[in-house]
Amino acid sequence: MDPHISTMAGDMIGAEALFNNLVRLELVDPKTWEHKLVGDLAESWDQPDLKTIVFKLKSGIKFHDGSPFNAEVAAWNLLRSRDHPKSYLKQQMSILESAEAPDATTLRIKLKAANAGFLRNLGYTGTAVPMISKVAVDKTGDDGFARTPVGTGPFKFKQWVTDDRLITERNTEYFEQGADGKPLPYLDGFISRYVPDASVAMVDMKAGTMHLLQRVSAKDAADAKNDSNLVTSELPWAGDVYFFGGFNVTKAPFNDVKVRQAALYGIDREGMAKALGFGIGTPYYYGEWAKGALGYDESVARYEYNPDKVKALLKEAGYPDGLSIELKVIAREPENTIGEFVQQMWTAVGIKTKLVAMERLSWIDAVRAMNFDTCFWRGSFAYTAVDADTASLRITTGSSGNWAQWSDPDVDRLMKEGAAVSDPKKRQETYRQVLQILQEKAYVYSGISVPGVNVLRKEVQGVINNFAQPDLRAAWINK
Amino acid sequence: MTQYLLRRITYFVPVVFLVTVVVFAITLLLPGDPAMAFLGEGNINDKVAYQAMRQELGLDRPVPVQYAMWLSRAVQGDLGRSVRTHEQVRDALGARLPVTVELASVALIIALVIAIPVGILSATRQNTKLDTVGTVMAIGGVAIPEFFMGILLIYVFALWLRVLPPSGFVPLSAGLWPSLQSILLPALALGMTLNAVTMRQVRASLIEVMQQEYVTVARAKGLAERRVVINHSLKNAMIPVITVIGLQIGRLFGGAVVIETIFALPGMGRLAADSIFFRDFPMLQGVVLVMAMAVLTCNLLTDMVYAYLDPRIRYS
Repeated sequence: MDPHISTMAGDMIGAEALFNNLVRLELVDPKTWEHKLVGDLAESWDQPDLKTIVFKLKSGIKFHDGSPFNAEVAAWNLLRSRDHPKSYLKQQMSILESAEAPDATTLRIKLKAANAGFLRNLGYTGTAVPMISKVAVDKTGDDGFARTPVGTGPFKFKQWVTDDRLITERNTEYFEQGADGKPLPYLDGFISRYVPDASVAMVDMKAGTMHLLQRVSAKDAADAKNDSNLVTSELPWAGDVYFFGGFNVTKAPFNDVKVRQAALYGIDREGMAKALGFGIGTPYYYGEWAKGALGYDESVARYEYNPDKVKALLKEAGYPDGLSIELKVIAREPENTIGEFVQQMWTAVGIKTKLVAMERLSWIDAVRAMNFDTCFWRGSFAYTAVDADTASLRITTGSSGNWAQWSDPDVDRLMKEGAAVSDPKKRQETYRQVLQILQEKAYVYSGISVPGVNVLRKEVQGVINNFAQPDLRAAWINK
Repeated sequence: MTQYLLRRITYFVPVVFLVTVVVFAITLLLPGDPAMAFLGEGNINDKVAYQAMRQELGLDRPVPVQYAMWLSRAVQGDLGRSVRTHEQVRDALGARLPVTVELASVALIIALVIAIPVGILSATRQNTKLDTVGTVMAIGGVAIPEFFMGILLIYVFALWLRVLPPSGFVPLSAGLWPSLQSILLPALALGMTLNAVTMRQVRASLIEVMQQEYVTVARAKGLAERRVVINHSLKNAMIPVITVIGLQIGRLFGGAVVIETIFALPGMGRLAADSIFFRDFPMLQGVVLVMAMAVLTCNLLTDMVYAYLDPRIRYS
């Protein structure tokens, strides 16, 4: 549960509760998906240029082990997330040049290069650096801390029964107050359970043995809406994309852009949304780019389903009778079902597809070794909804999330340019050009988007959907 | 008998050693890089993290050295630390084993409590409606997969009737009844196949034994039928039944993987499955060690029960 090393801390309801970040994102307008950055452990900040951020930190805050939170500890946290060999934030934080604490409440950050998205990324769970206790890490070591995490959050770690539950208790010295002036949190604690079978978890919700279920499938969301004891929260900006796919552009047939474009014209997203969306899925044409993100522009050409164009492009590429390919997916849901859909769609338009569902590690091995024609994975465009610069973690050369390992120097250059300016109009145009390249060159593709859906019992009140994660600091239960 | 027991216990050592060697070899042969299991799809290009993980897992050392290092620590009681969860393997096993033992024990009790009486009734009332009901139960128990049975039980008892929880485990330390409530449905799902097989074996064995001459003599002497069955026939009929039960106990541990996943029980079965998926070698070795010891112990107990049931059987 070390949030610098394991993404589990960000995936499980527990991250928001045990830790605080320097800043966090709050929803402003659910229609436009606009989120604003507010202080969490930081009281305020100043950004004199795109390479410098000076935070003024809140004072008097303590970690759960009693040690003080101050600028020195905050600096240590940022540097640890950059330097620890197993940090999953390493690539994103590699731009950090220094983090200094001139006094107890001032944190000065310098970046190696101008980056307009860095500050905002510190507010999103997937890219934030949660503040952990240095004293606890020094005392217990990395392994010990991973089992007994210590943060500043509204809830304290009590017990972790591996693969079963995380038990927390109220932090009686938490620094925030509710709207009623009473100290937060209201709850005495919560138990976060891991239930491997999603359908059993839904039964728990309906039976009342569970209060909140995070990120249910589209099918379960539709089921939950029919139960009068349950309330659903749809978070389209934090949705999943069924599916993200990439081509192996280093070898035939997908080294030819015409073949890639043909494949994209062969995906019937409308049909997929009807069959797999369960009423909440919608066709998604723009790969990594979230609606509302800088660079998103629906005037950029997109690949509507068109079997005639598929045939024409294949003929131009030298495949008048069609071709045979392999599609590799991880053998789990929803990839299995989506894979079958795509296999049938492509086969119907002349791209005879063999679906190879592989065990997860075997898939990773095959993709790393570039032993695939095309592959896809599940993912979310939430990153770009935070800031378009986060796409550099997935679409630039050698980036950690660029699973298909393609490389385009223009994309690399434009992503750097977009990060280096603060003017939103210039950034919009720069990232629009990136999107255009991605579309024209057809490096990556997508199917449908499904909103993130959290399900609550109707008696649970005050849960804030902090971008994507349910935030329990102001939650309570009506009895 | 004591000498026999000691000899059997000493056989554990080479068997367990061989099992750990085989498991070590198999996990190394499995496709997929263990280091990538922990880094995940999102870090596919992170070479620094990859090398750090390989060092931590000891994968930069030759295979025999890896095994020798594990073995030298294991004989001192140090089974290492899980790379996935960072807990001591010994502690993880200590926490998980009681869950699976409770699950398997309750499943066994449920199976025997149903199978033996129903098997006796089926045998003594052959080709009647009662026998038909017993046969249908047995066929159902074998034919219906455990995962389906589990989900069916959840929908009936947890969602529809709302008398039992659908998932989760409550340890015995929290109270006997709450713990039993949490284990009842999974134990029922797990025990149905054992129940079916045992029931049919009891029926078949009892029918055969009741055709023996000494049973005819007992009846001729005027003994009540109930006494003929329970006092004179059942004990002999149970010997093959014990064999079947002994063999099925190993199956119970295997079936626990699916049941523990469906009912979200933090037991050995799920631990084994997760350890395989994540190539968590230290944990996997520990799990296999414990499972091997458990199966060997069950086989030994089965042999001991034979000696109790049949005085003609004596071990030396």
